[in-house]
Amino acid sequence: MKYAAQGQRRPPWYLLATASIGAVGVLLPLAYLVLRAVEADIEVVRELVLRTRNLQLLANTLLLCAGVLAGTTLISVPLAFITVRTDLRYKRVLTVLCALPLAVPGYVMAYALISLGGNYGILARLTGLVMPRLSGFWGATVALTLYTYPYLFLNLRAALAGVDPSYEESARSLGYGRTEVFFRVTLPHLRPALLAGWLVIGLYVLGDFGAVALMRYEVFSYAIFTQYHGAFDRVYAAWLSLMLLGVTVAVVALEWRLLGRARLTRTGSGVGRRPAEIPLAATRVPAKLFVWGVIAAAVGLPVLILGYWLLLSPPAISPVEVLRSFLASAGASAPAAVVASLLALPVAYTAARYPSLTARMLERAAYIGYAIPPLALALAMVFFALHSAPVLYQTLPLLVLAYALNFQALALGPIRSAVLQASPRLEEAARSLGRNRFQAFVATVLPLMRRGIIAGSVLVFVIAMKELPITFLLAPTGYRTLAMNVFSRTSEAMLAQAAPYAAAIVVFSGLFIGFLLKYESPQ
Amino acid sequence: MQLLNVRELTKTFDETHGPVVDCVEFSVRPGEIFGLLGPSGCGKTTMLRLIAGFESPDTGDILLNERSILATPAERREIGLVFQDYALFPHFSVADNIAFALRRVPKREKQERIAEVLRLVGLTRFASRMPHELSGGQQQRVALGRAIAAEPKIILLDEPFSNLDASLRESTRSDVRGLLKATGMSAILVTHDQEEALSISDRLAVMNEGRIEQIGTPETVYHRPRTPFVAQFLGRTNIIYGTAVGDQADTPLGRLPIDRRTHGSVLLSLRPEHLELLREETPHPPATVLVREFKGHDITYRIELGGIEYLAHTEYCRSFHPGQGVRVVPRAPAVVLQHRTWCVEPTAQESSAPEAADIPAHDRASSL
Repeated sequence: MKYAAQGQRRPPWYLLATASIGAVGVLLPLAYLVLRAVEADIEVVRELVLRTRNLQLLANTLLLCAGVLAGTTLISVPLAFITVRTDLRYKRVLTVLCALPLAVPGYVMAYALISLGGNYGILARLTGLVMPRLSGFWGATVALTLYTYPYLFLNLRAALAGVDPSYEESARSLGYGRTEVFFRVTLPHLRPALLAGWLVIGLYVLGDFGAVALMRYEVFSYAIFTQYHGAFDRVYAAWLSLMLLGVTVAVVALEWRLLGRARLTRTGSGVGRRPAEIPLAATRVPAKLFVWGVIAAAVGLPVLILGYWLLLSPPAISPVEVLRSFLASAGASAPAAVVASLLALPVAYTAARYPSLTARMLERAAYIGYAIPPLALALAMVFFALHSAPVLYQTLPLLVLAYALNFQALALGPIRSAVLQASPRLEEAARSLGRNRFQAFVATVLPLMRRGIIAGSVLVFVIAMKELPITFLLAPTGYRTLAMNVFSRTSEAMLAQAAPYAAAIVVFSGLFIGFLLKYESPQ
Repeated sequence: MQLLNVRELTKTFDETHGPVVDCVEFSVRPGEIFGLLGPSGCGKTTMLRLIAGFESPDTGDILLNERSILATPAERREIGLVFQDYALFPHFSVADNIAFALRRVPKREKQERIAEVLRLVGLTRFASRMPHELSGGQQQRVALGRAIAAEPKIILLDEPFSNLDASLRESTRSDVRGLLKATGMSAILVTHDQEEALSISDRLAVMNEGRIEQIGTPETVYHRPRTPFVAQFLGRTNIIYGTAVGDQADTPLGRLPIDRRTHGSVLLSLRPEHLELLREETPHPPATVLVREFKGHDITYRIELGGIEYLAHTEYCRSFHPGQGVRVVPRAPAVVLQHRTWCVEPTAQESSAPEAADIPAHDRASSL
């Protein structure tokens, strides 16, 4: 990469122009969001912004974040340690099972928890035991924790496997016991992985709408939804979105600050020597119980609930209905995957071939699209469409575009590594043989990137299939995806009726879990 | 007529580091193999990329057949390029890689041309292989064949042998030279290996810190280096400080013949093989053998004389031992070097001139 470092060469204008589309696509609607918010009368604005309810929403939002981060950390750290470093058997299988909750979206997890408790809950029906139905803060926290902990778990696993065993060995030779070594040597090395996992989970919690809405816990995103949907107060919804954006920016800034120093201590993943497995000995039973307990709660519970509804109390919903809903999800997700990859391709190429401030900014913009709470992005898209392109409002193309802008960062990762793997010499060789830049790219690098592009597209497709908040705000009238069916039926307490749709999502996502694992964990 | 003219070419990437290519001038004649030799980081690869059209110069001009090609994009310069890592398209077979260079050739002729090129590079049997199924030497020949197939005006080779095993390098080198000569192709070959440059080039330019220090035939550049850098980069030498009087100079080694008439303080280069050692118990000036390195065909000695070390090669039959007194006798006139500013009193051989610090150790040693 000798020449890439020279970095002085400017990308051709058409490359910059196409690479900027994604960034403009994210930033322009946000401008409309701001515009819509400040448009209102100053007195109204003051009244909206200074409402004490906002403080309550902020407190609830931060509390939920803290709760989920604490919960996921308490689950993920021991889980990662046990599945990487101990002599527990079947670690590979257990790891896949522990990552499986990625296939169960937050609203399905919430749905499962809601189904479980209460007078008519499954627990009561099966055992006669009446457990209070989980809701509010605890409900939302448990649902989101069980769904999001794999993000942290997979990050920690990769980091643990990458820690050079000689650090720990030298600490032990200096007289420190295993526990001390873990806290004083191993844990500091996990800091970057912890921070990275926390950021992903934090952003997810800030943006989540399904689980908090079903658990009726009042956080920003839930309030935005009720304002927009119930009260039709768009100015207040816009202000709430801006406040939520502010919280998001603060979280990202905090993570960057913390990570700034932590990055220095990161060890490379290419360490040749693997640490010896630590014998569990007397802790084998508790360790096993812990691992299986997590799997039972995060995977077993939703599967059990869905199985119960589908087998013991099958709802009167024809498979055709479910298939139609599946096709609606796919009909928006598939084009979104293609568009997201098309948006990401020039960005990834510019970043890899012409590293510069501009290229980094374009990449950042793509990540902004991912970090923005989806409801805020959807609302921004609504304002944008109403203001500039009314034809688009409540049409499928607008939904597809919103998905693509939201998820382009997911496609960026695999596509960028694919570009980096294709040597720039290949293009230069093609050019010295008479092809212009574009022809050279198409003939040499594009074919080599095929796998990366497919990987990026599939990733976007799978994630978009489960998307709820953007879909809710932007779907054309009468367009009902799987996620919308699960959500609306659950919130109307038609739990059995939601089951087939939820099962379809879980089965579909589960099928891609291997694929997700491959790209979530660098192992 | 010159085929390629490079005129006052300058390229700066980063202002704080100064120009990478600094006012470089040279020309390549039709059918000539022109070597561009220098340590890594001296600007030779950038030079190649400027000619190929992947970088644009800040000032200066590049003429191909008397016409400036600066405004011509890389793909229309008709300049072939063979990369250090060969840049074979991994998703194409050997034949398809070569076919890629033949896009203007009508379909019917194409197969014939591919066969012809494969025959030329001796890979007829490998036409349907994929690049990763070939050895390094074979990949290299495909890369060369692909470049030749496009019938460029000139071929640029960037460190073409550096990815090959040492054992393969020598034979490949003469294969490549033979191939280029057989097709009458002009070429510029960039390398940091002086032995490679000396053996393959018709003429070569020695580059250092973005500038060309000397251009000439391998013999001239080796035997008549113009600067301390060239003298040292092309093999071991003794750099000697002296005072010239006509065609002789007074040095710590005594009065030496020099290769031209001059007066005043001079910097001289005297290669180890141009120093003869004679056995003498109490030589004048007093010189002692410090180290003896037996290498089979000859022997290298480190000699101490007046606090300065000198290198001398002698034939295998003359044997001295550390501690013995010897008389050092020059066998050929010392070469007067153009001295740029030197800030340290030169001490002989490698570490004398300020530039010497930039030369990688293996480059210095490998000429032995």
